[in-house]
Amino acid sequence: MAVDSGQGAGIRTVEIRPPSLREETTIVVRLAVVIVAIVGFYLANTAWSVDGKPARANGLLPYQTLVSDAASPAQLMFRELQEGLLEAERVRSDTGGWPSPDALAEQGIPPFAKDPTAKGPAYRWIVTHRGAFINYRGIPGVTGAPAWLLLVQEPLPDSLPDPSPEDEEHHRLPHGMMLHVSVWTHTDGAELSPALVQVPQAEGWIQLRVNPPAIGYVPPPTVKTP
Amino acid sequence: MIHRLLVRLKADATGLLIVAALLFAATASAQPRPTLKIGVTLHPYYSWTANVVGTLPGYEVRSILPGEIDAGDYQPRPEDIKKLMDLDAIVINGIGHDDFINPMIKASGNKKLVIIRVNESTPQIHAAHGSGVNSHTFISFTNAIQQTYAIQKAIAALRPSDASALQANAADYARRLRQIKARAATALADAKINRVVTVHDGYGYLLQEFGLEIAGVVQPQHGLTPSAGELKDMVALLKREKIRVVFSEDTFPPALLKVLRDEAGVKVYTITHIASGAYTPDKFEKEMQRNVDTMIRALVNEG
Repeated sequence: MAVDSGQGAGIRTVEIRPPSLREETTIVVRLAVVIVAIVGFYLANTAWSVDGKPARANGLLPYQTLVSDAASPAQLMFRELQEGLLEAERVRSDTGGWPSPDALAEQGIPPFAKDPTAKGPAYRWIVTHRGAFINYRGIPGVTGAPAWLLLVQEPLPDSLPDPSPEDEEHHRLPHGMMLHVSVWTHTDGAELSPALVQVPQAEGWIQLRVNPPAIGYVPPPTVKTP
Repeated sequence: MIHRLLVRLKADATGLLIVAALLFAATASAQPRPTLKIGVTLHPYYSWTANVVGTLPGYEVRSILPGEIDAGDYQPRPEDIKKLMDLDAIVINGIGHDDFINPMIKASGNKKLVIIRVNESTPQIHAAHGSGVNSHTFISFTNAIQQTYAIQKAIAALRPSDASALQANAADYARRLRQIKARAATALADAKINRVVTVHDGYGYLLQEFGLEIAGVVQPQHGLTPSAGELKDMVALLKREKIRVVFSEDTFPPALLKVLRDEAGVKVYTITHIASGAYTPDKFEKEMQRNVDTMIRALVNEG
């Protein structure tokens, strides 16, 4: 680019030259590299994952799966556990205690009540409670069938109020107590110890979720109980 | 003497203040609280919300769409937008069944509206065709109970003083729905047919609850009629899979159903997806009772 300024006349002449072939090629190549990098980054995080399974772009952790991707019997069990949990929470808020599976079954509440149309294995339901943790565990009557776990975590005594908004994992009781709730399944159902589970993902359980975790999701604090 | 007079005056003033405070409190509590106005987009949501508020004073449940128009065929009208202007809350599907409501809310200018998205924590199944989700979560007992409680919680957040009564109402409604489902399950345990074809993609949740399988869905998309080629493929599927029962909907063209009957030898039964008619608190219970009665007739009695 050359500039020729006529002094005193106030007129400038500017010559604009195109970049050389080499310069232009360099610019195009750099731009192409940037585009390829952006597209590659996007695809790596949305369309595929390293293990060949559906993408984790939706924010799922390795031990989580979406209910919509589960088999029909698992979808139904999840829905029934949601219903059972809501009724158990109602009893908890009314009486201060968690109902037994038998008490829920007597009221016809699934999945604790017998379902005459059920095609899968029969389940024995137990409830265990220690410290802040409550487990409703469905143990299949046959080997090779999945176990089910409804995990509820109450706030610790004297803990600060939980400001989280209500969602599939945060249920607030009418008097204000915020519960952390989640539904889990395990392939080796009949072989598992019936002991209370606090960290299911550490014991091979898979969590079923309606929605992927929200960005910035903070899991409930793990606590040691006696 | 002066001291005693001062003490007496002080006591009198305190008494007067207490009386005034009590009078103020009594007046305040006697004043009627403003009506909480809750809108709904779909018929089932009207029934669920009406049952949650029950006979509690100070609530209005308002349908936004005219009763006779199916949400799938609805075009927003100015008079319906007007119904949104003074609402406090609205119950919506939010996953494809009432997409028309968002621009309507915007047009209404109602900035304080609380939107109750009942499907936020409801697991969805995939649509039979395409990659979307099946938005008919409301044709289901389990989902109805879960979403009734979701509505109850949202209303309780707006009216905390009614939280216990709202929860009791929701629990009572859930109990009634569960009774309908339990009676149907007892009868359907003897079903001779466990695999059917449906015309409409909306029955997946309901059939899943009774352990029934769907071999195929006739409509290529919600509200669309199949082409001649698609109908031919469906007839082939019905024959190949030896399907004997098709569950249809009220508005599907009878001429196309005749093709299925004549060519594949199936029996056709109608299941409602609770999408039109008068908005009433008992509509959902009545129509779901009718649906399970139809299923029992089709799969147990005549199957």
